[in-house]
Amino acid sequence: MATPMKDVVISEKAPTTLLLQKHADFIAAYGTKKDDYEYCMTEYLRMSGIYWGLTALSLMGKLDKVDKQEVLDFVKKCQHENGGFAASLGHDPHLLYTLSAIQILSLYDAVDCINSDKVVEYIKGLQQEDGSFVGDKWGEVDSKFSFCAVATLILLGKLDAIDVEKTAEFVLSCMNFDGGFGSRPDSESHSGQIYCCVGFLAITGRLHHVNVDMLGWWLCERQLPSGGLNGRPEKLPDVCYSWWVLSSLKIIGRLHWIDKDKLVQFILACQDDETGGFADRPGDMVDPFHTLFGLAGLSLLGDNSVKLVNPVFCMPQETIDKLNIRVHLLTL
Amino acid sequence: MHGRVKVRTVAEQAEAKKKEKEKKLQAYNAALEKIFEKRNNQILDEEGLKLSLEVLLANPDFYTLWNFRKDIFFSLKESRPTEELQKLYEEELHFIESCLRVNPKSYGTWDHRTFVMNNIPQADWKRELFLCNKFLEYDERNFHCWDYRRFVVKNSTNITIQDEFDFTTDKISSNFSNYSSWHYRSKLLPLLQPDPEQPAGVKEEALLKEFEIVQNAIFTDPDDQSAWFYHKWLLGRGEIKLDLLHVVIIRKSKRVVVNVTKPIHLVDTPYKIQLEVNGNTITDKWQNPFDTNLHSPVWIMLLPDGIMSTDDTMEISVKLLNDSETISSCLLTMKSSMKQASYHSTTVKPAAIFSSELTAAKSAILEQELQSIQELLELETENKWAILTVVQLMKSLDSIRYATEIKNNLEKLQSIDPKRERYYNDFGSKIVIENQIKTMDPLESMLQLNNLSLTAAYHMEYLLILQDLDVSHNHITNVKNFAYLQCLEVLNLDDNQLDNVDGLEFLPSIVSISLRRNFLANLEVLRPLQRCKTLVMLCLDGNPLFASSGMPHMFVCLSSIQMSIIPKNFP
Ligand SMILES: [Zn+2]
Repeated sequence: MATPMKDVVISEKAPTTLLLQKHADFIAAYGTKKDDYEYCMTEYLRMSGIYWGLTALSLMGKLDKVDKQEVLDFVKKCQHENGGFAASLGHDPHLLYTLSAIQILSLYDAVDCINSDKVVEYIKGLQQEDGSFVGDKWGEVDSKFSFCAVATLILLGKLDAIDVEKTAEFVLSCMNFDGGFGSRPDSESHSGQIYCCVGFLAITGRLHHVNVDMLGWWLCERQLPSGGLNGRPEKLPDVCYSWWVLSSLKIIGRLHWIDKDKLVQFILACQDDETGGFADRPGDMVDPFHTLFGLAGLSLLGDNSVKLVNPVFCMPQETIDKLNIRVHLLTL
Repeated sequence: MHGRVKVRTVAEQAEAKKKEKEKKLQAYNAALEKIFEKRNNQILDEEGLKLSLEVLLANPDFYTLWNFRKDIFFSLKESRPTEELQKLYEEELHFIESCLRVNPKSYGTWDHRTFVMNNIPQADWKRELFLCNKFLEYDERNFHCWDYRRFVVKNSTNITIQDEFDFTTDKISSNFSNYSSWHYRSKLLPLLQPDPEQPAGVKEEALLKEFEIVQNAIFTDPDDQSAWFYHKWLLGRGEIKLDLLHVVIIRKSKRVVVNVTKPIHLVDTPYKIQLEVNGNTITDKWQNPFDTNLHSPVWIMLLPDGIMSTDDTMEISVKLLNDSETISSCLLTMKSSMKQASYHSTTVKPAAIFSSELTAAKSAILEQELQSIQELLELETENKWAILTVVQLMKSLDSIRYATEIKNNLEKLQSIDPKRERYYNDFGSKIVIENQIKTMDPLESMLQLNNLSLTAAYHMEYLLILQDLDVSHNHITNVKNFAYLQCLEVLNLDDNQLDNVDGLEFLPSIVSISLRRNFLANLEVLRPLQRCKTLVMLCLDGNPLFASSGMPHMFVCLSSIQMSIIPKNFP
């Protein structure tokens, strides 16, 4: 009846050093293969894809590898008349891609090139009576949309456009018996959701609501013998979940509760030394999503060859500083 | 993006695969082109439903296409009779099920199913519950399906909380290691057996039954964390009632400092602290020690000029209010000869706050749990979950009586679970500091926390009346929360692991800081101390900054320096 522990074994041949040049090449080349099957199949998340790629490049100090004007033109064209952004041309606007679009513009310090008042109106229009946010007009509710809303607004300097207290009440109603957060009231905790909710509370100055030692314990128990972190109990380790757990721990001031060296070893082993890029687990296919979270994770773990990352926004700290955004994190 | 193993293929195979993908892509793109053309022309008909089938089956996260289908359904609603609509929606449910079989974890697919169920003329909720059962059999941890299940239960009129509770019982008895089921139980139990007075908000009989089930689980599979997390929840967590804990008036720094039992904010909240000095209400702004816009358990009022300079005796009244209702109040008298005057609550004790982390209403339950977990430990001597639970229980029962056992257990945990060594260290530090606070005289102005292997400085907010604190010979890495120590004059931090002093700049009365043998690497990290106007003694020897930053030789020899020298030497 017992479930055997799910984990991976890291082979001796796995990479143990950071292959920065290869990752920069991988990301830079990714956007040029527009007829590629995989590329076409991910069009529905293109805006986020661009944010992942550009942030990865930015953390490596290689943002100039991509044609800025081409990116800005694309982002501008994806803004819908209602103010929201779609993942790609012809697709529908959604809060997820609205945040990605504003993150991209922030990386380039180019928020001025779009109509940000319309964005604020769009976001306000998605808030419900109970303080929650829907992702688009069709009405899916999720606490991660609450994060998208406040993160986008603070990047635009317009956090006061919504009733923050009411918004926070909904997010807090998603808190669970383990100190974590789910997507809606009664939903199970997982670390992606925890990152969103803890990030939300950091942005809105409400981290005192977190049961810090309980949540910190649950989060540090995500670390498996391989060094990697999983997203929920009894699940496999994954580079993206490693980032979500890590950034949440950083926000609540408990990053030291995991074994950093073991996690660095795991993240490095997820690199593909032929193609560049990071995969979810050692030996799997790489993608820009896990490449960003691999690099961001290493940055939080103190790797100086990558720029310092902000744990709440998953963007370079220098970008957040330039925007004059001060988010208080907890310390122990 | 997840779980796709990289496979090596020979060139020939790769070529064939590439061709096949190209062909697939052509068909995919052709379908998309037609769909977008229709959509742009606002042609919302059944053909649109057919066209998007294949694309969504291959790519269920393509949210715009689900939106397209929703638009079509709304448009058909205008023109079709109910029976026809019913049939179309039922076909849609079948289609969604096929998509879920390909990808059971697509947010868009599950959300579209809720759309269909919200709009279908005659909803069959029983069938939906059956579908959930099926998908949970296939993957008992699929949280999308659990969420959909809760949506179904909410809408169906004949599924009771008890039914759902029984369902989790079944799931757990077939596999204890089912975190999702334990989670769901934590939501159902307080609805089914409510008692707000009890831990976890659950009636005692029900609670005892749950303990039995958990015992069964942890004795069967003691390494399974699900049951242990649930066990921790059953033990409960006490609510801390808001109250005044300490109030101090400090002559030197001209301030009134108020410590309440939990973090509050005083702007745009119902809470207020009302301060009167000699009958005059002081309406200036309260600030927290960090001068941020955040909640805090400590609030400071800088008294306006003139008030402190009088030689007369001062009468000070402090009231903590919720709306206009007084929660608690106190009166203090400060004679002209006094450096500071303080009040401490005789009703609220820090001990009660510390034990609120786990509070079963009856310690009998805790005793009983401690006994059975210790029995388990006799069989499973190295089980970290059991050892940690024993520590938690001992902490709640009597952390002073069990101090040695707690310490030994935490040391054992560090050796069997080294990845979380720092967690156990910090937990130990917390208990040690709590025990010190519990046993000290609340009006004592001196405390020695030296040589206690502390890695973290917990609970500084409860020590705000200290004037002299010795934390030397520990492993402290940051002193941010020392900012709460508003009366502190002498601080010994020798032999710790500090690489910065952030937090100390907020100490208004500090006179002497000793930081010998820490990890301070350059003068820049000391810059915050420039704000400490009262500091006269700063001991820095034994820090790497003397080795590396090329400071004047005489500086190195000094064991203590006048703070006034430092700014001139700043780069
Ligand atoms: Zn992943």
